[in-house]
Amino acid sequence: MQVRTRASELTATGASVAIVATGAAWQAQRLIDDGYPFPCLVDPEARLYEAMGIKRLSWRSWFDLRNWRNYLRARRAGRDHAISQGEVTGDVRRLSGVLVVDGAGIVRLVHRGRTLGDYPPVTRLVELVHDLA
Amino acid sequence: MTDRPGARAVRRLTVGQALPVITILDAHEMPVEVASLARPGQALVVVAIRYYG
Repeated sequence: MQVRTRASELTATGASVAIVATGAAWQAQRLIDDGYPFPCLVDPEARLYEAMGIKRLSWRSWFDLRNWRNYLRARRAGRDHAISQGEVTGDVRRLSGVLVVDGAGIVRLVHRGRTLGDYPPVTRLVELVHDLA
Repeated sequence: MTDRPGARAVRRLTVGQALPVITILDAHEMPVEVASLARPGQALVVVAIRYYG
């Protein structure tokens, strides 16, 4: 996971990073116990996802091979942020996203994934948090 | 967007607006406000992944 490997770049300015998933809390705790460098949280009711406007993948898209090609391409590029734990919990059809808020509490980026593996490049996030510092 | 625990997210966040109160859960299933994840005066990056698993 690219965010994990570039954690120090993201936090060098004082920025905080948190990971949220719709899955089970015990999986978040296991990641923390394993030394994951960021707080891991859960959003079982998808409140944050809904507020961010992150949609669920339609069944039609789920079976669209082009979507999975995008996903595999993102994985190869290190941009898939799903964290493998061996057991899938939560809403597998929920897409991903990234929220950046500045030090004054103002929303500066809302990235809404449109396909599987759709995240902004970590380089863009690093540049943004540096600009906000 | 929520303004109290249990409220349903309805309004979509946009760039330039103040982050409203949005409550999620920590790894112990205790409520956490998203804004509280930031250090005072510092930026916050929240990566909403598809799932743990």
